[in-house]
Order: sequence, then C-alpha cells, then structure tokens
Amino acid sequence: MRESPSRLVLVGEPLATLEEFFPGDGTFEKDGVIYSSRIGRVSVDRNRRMLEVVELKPLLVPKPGFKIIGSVTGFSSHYANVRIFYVNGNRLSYEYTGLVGRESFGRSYPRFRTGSLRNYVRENDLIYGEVMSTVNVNLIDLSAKEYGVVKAYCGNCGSPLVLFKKYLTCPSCRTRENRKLSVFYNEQIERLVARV
Amino acid sequence: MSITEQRPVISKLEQQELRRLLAENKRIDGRNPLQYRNIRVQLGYVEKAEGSALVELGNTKVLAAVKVGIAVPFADTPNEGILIVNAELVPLASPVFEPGPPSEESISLSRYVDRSIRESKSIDLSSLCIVPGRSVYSLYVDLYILDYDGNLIDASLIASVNALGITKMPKYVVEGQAIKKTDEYFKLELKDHPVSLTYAFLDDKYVVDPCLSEEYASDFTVSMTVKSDDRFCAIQKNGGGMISPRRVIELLERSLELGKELRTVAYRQLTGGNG
Amino acid sequence: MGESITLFSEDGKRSDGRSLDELRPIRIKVGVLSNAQGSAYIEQGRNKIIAAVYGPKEALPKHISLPDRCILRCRYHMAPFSTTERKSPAPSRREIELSMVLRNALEPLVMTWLFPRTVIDIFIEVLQADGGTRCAGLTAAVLALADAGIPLKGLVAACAVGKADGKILVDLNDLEDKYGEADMPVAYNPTLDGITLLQMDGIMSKEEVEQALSLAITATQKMHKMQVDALRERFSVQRREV
Repeated sequence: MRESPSRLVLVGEPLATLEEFFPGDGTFEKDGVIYSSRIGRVSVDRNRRMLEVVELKPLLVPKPGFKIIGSVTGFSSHYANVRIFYVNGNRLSYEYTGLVGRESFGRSYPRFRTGSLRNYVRENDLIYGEVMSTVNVNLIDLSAKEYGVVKAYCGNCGSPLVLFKKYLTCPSCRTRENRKLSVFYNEQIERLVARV
Repeated sequence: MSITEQRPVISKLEQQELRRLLAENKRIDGRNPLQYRNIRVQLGYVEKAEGSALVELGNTKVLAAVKVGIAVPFADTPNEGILIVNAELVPLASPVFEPGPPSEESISLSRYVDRSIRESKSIDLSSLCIVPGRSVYSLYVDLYILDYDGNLIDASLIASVNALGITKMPKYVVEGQAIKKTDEYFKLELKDHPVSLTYAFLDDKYVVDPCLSEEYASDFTVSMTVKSDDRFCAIQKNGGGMISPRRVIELLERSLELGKELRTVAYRQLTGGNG
Repeated sequence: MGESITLFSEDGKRSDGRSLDELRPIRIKVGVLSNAQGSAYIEQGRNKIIAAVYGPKEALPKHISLPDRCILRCRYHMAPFSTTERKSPAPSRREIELSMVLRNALEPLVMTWLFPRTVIDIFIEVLQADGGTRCAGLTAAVLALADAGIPLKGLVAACAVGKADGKILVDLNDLEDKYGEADMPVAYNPTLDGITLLQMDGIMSKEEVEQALSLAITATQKMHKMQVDALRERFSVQRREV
C-alpha cells in the first residue's frame, strides 16, 4: 500500500525517525533521523515501512528501465555506439552515450543470431529502446517488439528506407536491408515521445 | 574550472591499515598522531639567490629561494615593497606533478604561504621603499617542491621563512633620476617566525603533519598558521568533508601547543638555537 | 592608509549603519535561468551573484570520469565590470583558488555516489562585488544544486566574519574586508553540525577566532532560513502551476 505523495519538503528537512520508517529514495539518515535529500513530496509505503521523497522534476540520468530514443553514431568491435537524446520522453539538454550489442536483442530475433551486428542496426538509425544496465556503460535493450529501429537509413546512399511488404528498401538505390525493427517504425518522433 | 581531483588509488588495504592503526593512536610510520617528522634545514643552499633554504620534512623536500630586485610599487601601496610567492610543483618530485601552467594545488599552496608571511607581518614591507611611488624592493619567494611526501604547506612556510631570514638586501642609492645598485648589503629584518600546522582528518580522527599516504586517505586537511605571539594569521580547510566547530576550537588549542615546539625546531638556525 | 579610513561611527555603528552582528540586506531568488538545470540569484549588500548548475551529465572526456561517483566542476568568476577597476576576464590566481575552495565546500553535500561516471558543473558568476563574494556565491550555488534536484545532505549558508578596529563583526563589506584586521569566511550546516568552508587571513587570537566562529554560526543559521524561504517561494509557485 502506497500513499499518494503529499506535502512539499525541502532539502535537509527532518521527516521521521528510524523507528518509524526505513529511509528510501530521496532521503538520508543521520543519528536516527530521516532527512529529505531533495525537493519533492513525501511518499510513504506502509507495507514496506519505506519513506521516500518523490522528486518534482526528474533528473534525466539513465537508469535501468528508462526508455530512450537515440541514434547510432558508429561501430566499435562488437558494439554500436548510440547517442541518447530522449530519456523517458524528455529531451536531454546534454546527451548520453550508450551501447547496443548482441545482448541487446535477447532471444527474440533468432533469425538474426548469426552475421554482423549491422543486420540489427546501422549508422544514423534512430532507435527506441530501454536502458538495461548502467554498469560501466549504458547498455540498451532492443529486444521487445516495441523496441528497435524506428527510422533507418540506407547503408549505401544514406536515404531513408521505406518498409515495403515487410522488407526495408531504399527508394533511390533499390537495395534491401535488414534491421531489428520496432513496431513503431516510421512513427513521428513526437508521437513516439508521447507514447513513453 | 576546478575539477574533482583524482587521487591515486592507494590500496583499500593501506587505507584500512591507516584507520586501524589510528584507532589505536598509531601511525603507519610509527609516529604518534601529534608528532612531526624530523625537520632538517639547510640555509643558503642556492648561492645565486639572496636568500635560500632547503627544508626536509621527513621525505618531503622543499627548496625556497628569495630573489631581490627593484620594481615599481602597486598603485594602492606606493610606499610598500612587493612580496610575491610562487610555488612550482616540479615534475621530478612526484608522478602526480605534471609540467605546464600552475595547477590549482600550487596556486593554493603559494597563496597560503603568501598569506601566512604577509598577514603575520614577518616582513615590514613599508621598510622596503626606495623612492615612494616609483621604486621599491621586490622579494620573489620561489618554492621548489623537490620531493613530495605530503604536507607541502608546513614545509613550504618553514623553507620560505628560513630563506627570508638570511636574505641579504643589496643597497641602492638614488642619484637624481637613476637608482644604482651598490656593492653593499644589509640584512632583511624578519619580524616574526610564523609556523603552519596541518592536520589531516580520517573519519573522526586526525593526525598532524600527514605523510603522503595519510594525505591521500584523508577526507580533508586543515592548516593553521600561528605567529610567535600565539595569534593566528591564516587558516584554511582544504579538500571536501565537514568539520564541526567544536573540532576547529580543539585544533586552535593544539596549534598553540604544537606551534611553540615546531617553531623552535624549524627556526633554530635563525634564532641561534634559543627559540 | 588604514588610519584615515573610519570603519565605525561615533555611536559604534559600522560604515553602512549596521551593528556588529547584523547581516547586510539579503535577497535570494531560486530558478532565475531558463537553460540551467538549477539556478539561484543572490544580492547581499551590493553583491550581485548568479549561480547555475548543469548536470549530472556524462563525464567527457572519459578519463575524467570516476567509476563510483560523479565529479564536480566548479568555476567562480568575477565579471570584468564587477569591481571599481576593470578586472581582466581571464581567471586570476584568486579565482582559481576560490573555484577550488568552493568546490571543496560543495562536494561533501552532494550525494555523488548516486551518479557514477557523470559530472555536475557549477558556475558562480559575480556581477557586482562588494566583499564576501565567495560566501554569497556559495549560498547561491547550494540553492542552484537543490533547484536542479540533485540529492544533497543539506544546505549550507556561508558568511564572512572578521575583525576590524579590534571588534569582531559579521558579514564584512568591501571596506571592512580591505581595511579590517581579519577576514574569516565560514560555511556551516546546522543539522550536520559541519563546516564545509573555512578560511581565515588576518590576525586574531584564539579567543577571537572562537568568538568569530560562534558569530558565523548564528549568522549562517539566519541565512539558512532565508534559503529555505527562497526555495519555498520557488516551489510553491510551481505547485500552483501543476
């Protein structure tokens, strides 16, 4: 049972004692007293006896489970580098980098399990995914069906690829390419952001 | 921009060991928490400088040299000589010292030594005026850190004061518009013998005169400079961490106790051995 | 020189009419810039200072990042027109030292371990200087960090105390700073009972330092209340918008 966030608290405000609650997110404990570590609203989980302070404006630092939109900037040995510029639907004023590797695709795409990573994503592609780990690097999960490439560009001439009868085709040079596509392929970025 | 310093990873084991020892009031080099390392002072180490001193504080080696010249005084102090302290963290002294423009560490060090000398009025700058508004003595104190084993501040102040204490000032004569250097010298008068005492805090314990590994393992350090008349002329907390006001007052008392002893040892040669 | 300057009037008031333990008028506003993650503006006497915070953002180049916590970058800077004589915009030795001292004063408050491999940039820009800029700048910078939503162990307020004409006084103005005997900036958090910034230059006996320290603690507690009010003002307005 979780009570909805209530009153506004400020940094360093005493909230409760350790006898009453465990200190949760947005709090810290000193000498048996729980203090708020950020500006936000107090939220209480009575079952877990957990006291949290829910932030007013989110800090846009990638955390596992956060949904991201980014573009592929290049490849390095076994990974594709990604520039992340949306986190949980918020445009970042400073971008983060992330990686896409084989582990990003899980088991959902067995037909791609062989061959180059370039069968999944390519340079300049716009991708929609979820942060799966932030240990050392931000690793991006693209395995679910809503995740994957949302806009692809031809590896040959750079034109945007169109989805025609389940195949990605370049309208100008007629090449066909493979990607791990999101079900939202070709959706406007604004609408995609709104989904998050 | 000042950026969070990356301290060399002193192994977790060594950190644990330092803290374990300190819990028993012991230190890694066998000293007790309020004991200074051995101090060796060599006066007149550089003959070309008007005054110089090489100070060894344990393995820390600092060479201070004073160069005397004449200069135009600063506009706001037309009757005062100029004192400038500069510190060089010479790359040969430590793998963490890099060549290039002065680091914030070296700037902070030289500014602290400067404040200690200036505020203690160790040098009467108004006595260093030749022609008011036009010509005054300039004293450049250059600190050369030659070997780095912690506590640069205390060693640097001792070296600077010793160097200034033996500085011989060339006499200048005014001939019309010109100012001429003569062959005569007079001794720079040292009005005070300030000492700085630096404490490194590890958790809730502290040690005086930290060696390098203690400095790296510490949360922060506090330096306090005490004049001969037991008044304070500079204080500075360096590094992150928090200190309680009660602790600051405790350090003030400590500094008065330890300062006397340190002054006697550090300036023995200047004062003729009787402090 | 110092003798020709009168720091106290005959009735014992200071040059600006204050009593010994009286702060200058202080005005604080949080959230004054549109691009910064967090920002704050402070006027203390004739000081006018803006602080801004950007981040946490990815620490680049990679070699500056730390695997277990975020790093702080701090720049204290005085505008060329902030002083009577024009100040060169290039960072002076004093500004370099103060940038470090201020970073050290903020670092123990920030829960850096929550954001490994990132950096938080803190900019303190002095638009007009009137003595005690590092303290006023720090008071504003902490609010900018809180405004940015960065988890902190608390706020600190900073205030210079010192000695002039043999009297211990609080919140030194430019004149008292220049011609007084001692200047001691202190930043203090009452909840944690911690001083995060402590400097002193000038001459004071042990008793005088103690006295100055206790004045500083009272003064920073007063300022802490003003910081809290400024934050409340900012965020209660925001609440109405929602």
